Amino acid sequence: MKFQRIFALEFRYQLRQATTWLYFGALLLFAFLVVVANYASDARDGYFLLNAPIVLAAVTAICSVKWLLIGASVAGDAAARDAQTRMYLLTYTAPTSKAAYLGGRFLAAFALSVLVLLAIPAGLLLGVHCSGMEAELLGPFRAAAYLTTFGFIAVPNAFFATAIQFSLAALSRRALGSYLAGAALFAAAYTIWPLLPDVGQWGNLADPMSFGPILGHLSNDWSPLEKNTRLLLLEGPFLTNRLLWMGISLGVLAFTYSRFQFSLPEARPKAQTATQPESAGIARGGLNWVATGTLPQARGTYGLATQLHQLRRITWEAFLPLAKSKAGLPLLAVLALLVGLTIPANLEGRGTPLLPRTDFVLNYLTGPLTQPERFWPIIVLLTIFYAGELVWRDRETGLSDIANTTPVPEWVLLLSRFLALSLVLVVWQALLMTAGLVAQAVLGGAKLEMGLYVAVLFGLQLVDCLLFALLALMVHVLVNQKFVGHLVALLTYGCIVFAPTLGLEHQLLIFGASPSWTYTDMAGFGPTLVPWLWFKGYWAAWALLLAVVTVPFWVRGREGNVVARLQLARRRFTGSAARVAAVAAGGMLGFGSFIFYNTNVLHDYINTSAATAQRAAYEQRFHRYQNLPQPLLTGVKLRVEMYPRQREVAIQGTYLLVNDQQEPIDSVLLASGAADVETTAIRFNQPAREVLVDEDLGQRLYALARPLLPGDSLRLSFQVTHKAQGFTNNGAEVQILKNGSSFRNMEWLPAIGYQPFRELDEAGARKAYGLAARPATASLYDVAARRYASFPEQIRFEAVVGTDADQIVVAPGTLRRTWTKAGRRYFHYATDAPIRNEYAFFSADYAVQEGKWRNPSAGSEQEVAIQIFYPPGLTENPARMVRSAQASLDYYTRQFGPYPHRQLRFVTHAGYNFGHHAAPIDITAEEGFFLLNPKADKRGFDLVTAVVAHEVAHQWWGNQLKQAYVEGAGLISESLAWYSAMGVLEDKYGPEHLERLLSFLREENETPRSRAALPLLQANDFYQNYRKGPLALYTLSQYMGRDRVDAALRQLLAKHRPGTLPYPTSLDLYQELQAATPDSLQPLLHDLFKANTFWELATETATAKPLKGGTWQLTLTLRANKLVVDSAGTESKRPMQEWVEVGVFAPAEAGQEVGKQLYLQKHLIKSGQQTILLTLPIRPAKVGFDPRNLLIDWEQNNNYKLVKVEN
Amino acid sequence: MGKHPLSLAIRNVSKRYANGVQALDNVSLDIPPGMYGLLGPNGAGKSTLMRTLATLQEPDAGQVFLGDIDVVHQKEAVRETLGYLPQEFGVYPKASAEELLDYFAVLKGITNRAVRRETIEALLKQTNLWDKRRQKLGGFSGGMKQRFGVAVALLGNPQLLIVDEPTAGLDPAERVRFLNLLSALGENSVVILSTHIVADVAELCTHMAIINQGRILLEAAPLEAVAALQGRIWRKLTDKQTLPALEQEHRVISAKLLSGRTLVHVYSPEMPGNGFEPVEPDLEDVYFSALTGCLGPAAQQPKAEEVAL
Repeated sequence: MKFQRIFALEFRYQLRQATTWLYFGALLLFAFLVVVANYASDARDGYFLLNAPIVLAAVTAICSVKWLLIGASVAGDAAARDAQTRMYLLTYTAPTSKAAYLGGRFLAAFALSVLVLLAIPAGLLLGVHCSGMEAELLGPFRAAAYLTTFGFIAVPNAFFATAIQFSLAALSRRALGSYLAGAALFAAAYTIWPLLPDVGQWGNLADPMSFGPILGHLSNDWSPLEKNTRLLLLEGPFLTNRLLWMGISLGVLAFTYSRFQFSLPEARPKAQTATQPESAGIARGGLNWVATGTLPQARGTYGLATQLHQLRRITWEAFLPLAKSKAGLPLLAVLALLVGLTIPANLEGRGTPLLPRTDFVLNYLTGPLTQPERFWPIIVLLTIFYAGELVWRDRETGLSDIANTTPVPEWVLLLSRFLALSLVLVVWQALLMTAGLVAQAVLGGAKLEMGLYVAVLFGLQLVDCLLFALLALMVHVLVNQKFVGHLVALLTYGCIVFAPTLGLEHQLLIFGASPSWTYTDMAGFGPTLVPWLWFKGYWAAWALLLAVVTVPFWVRGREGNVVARLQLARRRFTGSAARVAAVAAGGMLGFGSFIFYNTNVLHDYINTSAATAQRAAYEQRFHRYQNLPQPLLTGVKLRVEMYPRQREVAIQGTYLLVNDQQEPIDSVLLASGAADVETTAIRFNQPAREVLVDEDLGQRLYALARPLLPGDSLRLSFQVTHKAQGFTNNGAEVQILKNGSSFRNMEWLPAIGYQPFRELDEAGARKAYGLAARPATASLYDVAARRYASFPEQIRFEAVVGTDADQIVVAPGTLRRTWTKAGRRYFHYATDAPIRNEYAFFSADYAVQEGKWRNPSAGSEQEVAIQIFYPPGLTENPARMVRSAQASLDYYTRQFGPYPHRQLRFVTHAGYNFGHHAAPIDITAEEGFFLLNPKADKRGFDLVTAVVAHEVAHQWWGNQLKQAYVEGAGLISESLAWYSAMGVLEDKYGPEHLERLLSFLREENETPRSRAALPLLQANDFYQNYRKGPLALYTLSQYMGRDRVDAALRQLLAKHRPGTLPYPTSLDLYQELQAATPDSLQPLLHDLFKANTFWELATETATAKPLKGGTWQLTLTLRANKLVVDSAGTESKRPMQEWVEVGVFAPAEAGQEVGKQLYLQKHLIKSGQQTILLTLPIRPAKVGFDPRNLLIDWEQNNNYKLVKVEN
Repeated sequence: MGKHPLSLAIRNVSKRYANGVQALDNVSLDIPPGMYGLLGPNGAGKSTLMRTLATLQEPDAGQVFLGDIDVVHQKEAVRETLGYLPQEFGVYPKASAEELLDYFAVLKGITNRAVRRETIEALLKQTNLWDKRRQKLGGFSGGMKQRFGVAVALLGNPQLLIVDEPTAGLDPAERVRFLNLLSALGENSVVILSTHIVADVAELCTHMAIINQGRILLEAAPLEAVAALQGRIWRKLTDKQTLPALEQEHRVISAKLLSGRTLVHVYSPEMPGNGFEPVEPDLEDVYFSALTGCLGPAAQQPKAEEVAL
């Protein structure tokens, strides 16, 4: 009875609160937006149906995590309202049992939370069914999908969160406890998720909201078929998660029940200490009733000096309690500690530690506040919370009436809060800096650059924090209702984060936004700082303007009414405020106009949709010329002047074009370079007429007065100039820098003919622009598509390049001569053999590591110079790279055929990445690669050597064998490059190096992902091209011998000489492999490449018993299965009849993981269970079914078994 | 600021809250320097008026002048010479009395450190908090807190001191000490004391006004108001049951229980009849007469002006 009354009272009380319905509305809107703005476009691109159960589940998970932040007040209010409003004097003394009181309140809070969460299915229904979605995006309506989603995600989440929030608030008697619990759960959802690949199932269990696993199903580990049809049911780890947290929640509730008391624990002792001295005082001073002495006559002085004094004092008084509170500096210190602990894991390239250089540490520590995958959103949440505390502290302590009647102007009151918040953020930067410095010191090997830390954290990152802090404060002042203020501030932040997704991309329109700065040791800030400063200046002016407008709204009295506050604000808005506002507005307009001039006048402003429209227009207008016969580019001669300091480049170029077709050519379609260069002075060496000019798309069509006959040639000359001018909405152009310039022909120089790579690929966008539907990548079986590859022409290249006297230019070919003229240095490069038409120019202050490689089977003219152009100071890796390049050249020439050039270079490109791009001769290496520290790699894996071998292999696979731009292209470039690198490691470095490379490649198997995929021959994704492909080739080589596979590759290369049509595809590789594979292994070849096959191999039992004569008999029960999974996820069993290795190992010796191999033989294995008997000379300890993991089996562990000994 | 005392003029001030309550209805008052009592029942509009005077609230209509400072529009100038002790207030529980007083001294513009130290010491001694100056405010009793509030209100030697229901939570000893403290102030400043306790006004104030339902019922000097009732208040001891009948016949201004019987006070220019005996009126009778409409604003208006002049 009592319980029901308490429940009903609480439920009705909160139901009548406007905020409850505000939460409902906010959540509904959010769910709707996630569907419409986020998932609809993916659905249009064909990834899934919009109302697929897992999409509903993902939206529910996202929204219920967001709800943690806004909905915390429901539980907090139910638990702590009595204590906070001092109602407890009545309720705690009422004859109610603790169970009824707590139970009623808790269940009411839970019921209200569930009610609020009903906004999610409501928003989903609206978004999916009532927002005009195309019918083909939707599957049939399934009530079960909505019910399971709500019942298994939202309701349990509400229960867990409410239990934890309610308990914290009830025990601390403060609603704040609930908020902190909500924020912690929120942070857990976001931080555990990115760690999931490492923590595996533990991550699934550790996240009470199940946020990561559900989104993981959508992005990774469910097949398309599952995504569209499978309901998220209570099973597997998901069920464990729900049960675990149900248990924890009940435990927390029980704890709360036992600890809760109907009294305010802190009230009692204090009252005692207070009354005692007072009664003594009365006794002593009983006669001292009449005030003696005169009242102090001191009067205040007023003016700016006093105001500044007041500002200082209020700032400090506001800062101190905030800093001292548990949610203040202690929390920030813990956060900084956590961040510090994650630094080592984030300073890795593919698992290999990096030298912790300050610029890379800072790249991890800083970032836009809107970047969800880092820790900055937590700082945003705290900023909002702190702002609320600062604005509300005086009112909550009841001091505001007195404080507000003191002669302190409103601007001092607001500014002091802002300064207090700024101090907190300054301390946070200092904590972060400490975390970074400590991490650097612990990791060792890098210089601590204090100046850089200070400049970046306090000069750059702090500005972002302060702009948002001011915004949060202003929201709290204007909204004037604490929890609604939090909500509005959060929504504001949400709008800032999602503005680009919602189509608002211009950074002049998104509060606080700016292009980002970058700093690396090699390039410094380069030109990235200037636009950043302009934008921040603009937003600082805006912030000042908003602040001046907000100041008059500072609440001093009890006027809550909007009209009254407006009137009061108008009265308070004085002349000086107007003047400051005018200055701020002037600054805003000034900065804004300058930015606008840069982004929209100096440059064309192109947002995502305009860029999409341009690509569509290109296809619409020029696709008709795709089959227009065009002359072939065979020679390039360039005269390049680079001016790194002025950030200018001038190019004078000549192309030699040849008609290699069977018919005369009468017109030439010329595509000029990207928007940041100007292409002029286009001339042919014979009369030609410009018949079509499309300036927007940079296309020109020329009609030749005299058709070019087959075999005839034509010269085209042109000028290309680049001058960095100001900046765009995305920042400054960063190709030509004071140090570390580079540019590529594919972006800047003219190209001949129609360029299919410029077409739109996304299905949804193609449809929107009325373009014919086509796969994003051409089908492997599309014969016509085999005539296209990216920049496949074979050219003779020659260039004279000038640059600043203290820099080195790198370009393809032999450096014929270098000289200095008029304070500039010139380099003359020319190729000795044709290269593919892809090249780059570099100019920087490089250090050079040189080496030589001589083909032992050829004369001395076959010598190849190996050069590593690296950032001065990073001397760890270049020598290692030279060794790997020598070994690679040696091995590849022997296995696959000659290297056609006289040089092989790695050239550094400034930036935070580690990757490479292998153009002919010159391989671009990102700056981060030189920081890799393989010596510190716990796996003992030398990533640098392996990657260099991979990149050198691209001089064969990719540069000699140029693959057609169709499905499976990655198999004959990336997979072959890794496969080749395996041979280098095995032959030149030793089998243990090969083992480490293989296990490195297999690491990716542990990342959860769907088994649904195209067969390797058609695959386009990273995992298949870079990991599964090379491993499949390795398996084949182990089954039929490496020589046979390599011979097939040699054949492939020989049959597809550079520049010949059609371009090779994975089918050509398959054909060569087929020819080389013995009949017995043809099924395996098929299973590895032509079908997406999985083997499920397991050792079920392994028992050994000693035989007479000291030998042992080993009995193995093995289970095997083979299945094929198509790209939708349909699995079908295949009968198995193949040779699989069985290995037996002796007991491991001390310090070793596995013992000596006693036995390794292939056995013919069928589907299902089978028994194998082996006789062994000594006692076996461990067996492995396919112990070398040759067959694709993601569940490796059950292949092995420790041997049980029977007597 | 001028040295000579200022007086406060309230002209036709009205205030209606969003929920429809007319808190102040065309209130006009002239408040000379000295202690001024604002007497009225709970919810009469006292606090609204006090907050309006303390620059915390905007009137819908009307003007308020402190000397020639327009209180509504020149808030900053008023605050420079204002001391305000609200009906309810809190403190930073973890700050000591001295620290928080020092903080408020800065807010009140006393920036010179030496002056501030002197002022704080004087005020803490005045309010008898000197011994507890290092004690955390969270441990203060209601009376100590109230005295601390007075110390804050007295910072900067205000010319306008507004104390809203200051004695409500105090024990008798506290109350006496508090009122003594206040009376010491009344010499150079306008001190407005709002209360629903008649005795507070009777003991301290030279002028007073009675307010109910947002309207001023009476504006007078307490002694004169009492004198004006001379011979008009009668009393009778009666039973509870006869009270309704009595109320029908007479203008009963108050009825209180006295040893199981009911003591009735009746307003009447003449002897109301049998069983009544004359009473020497006190301020409480003035208060109840005003509240029951016996001393209507219309009737009292000329008198009030007389008093004011």
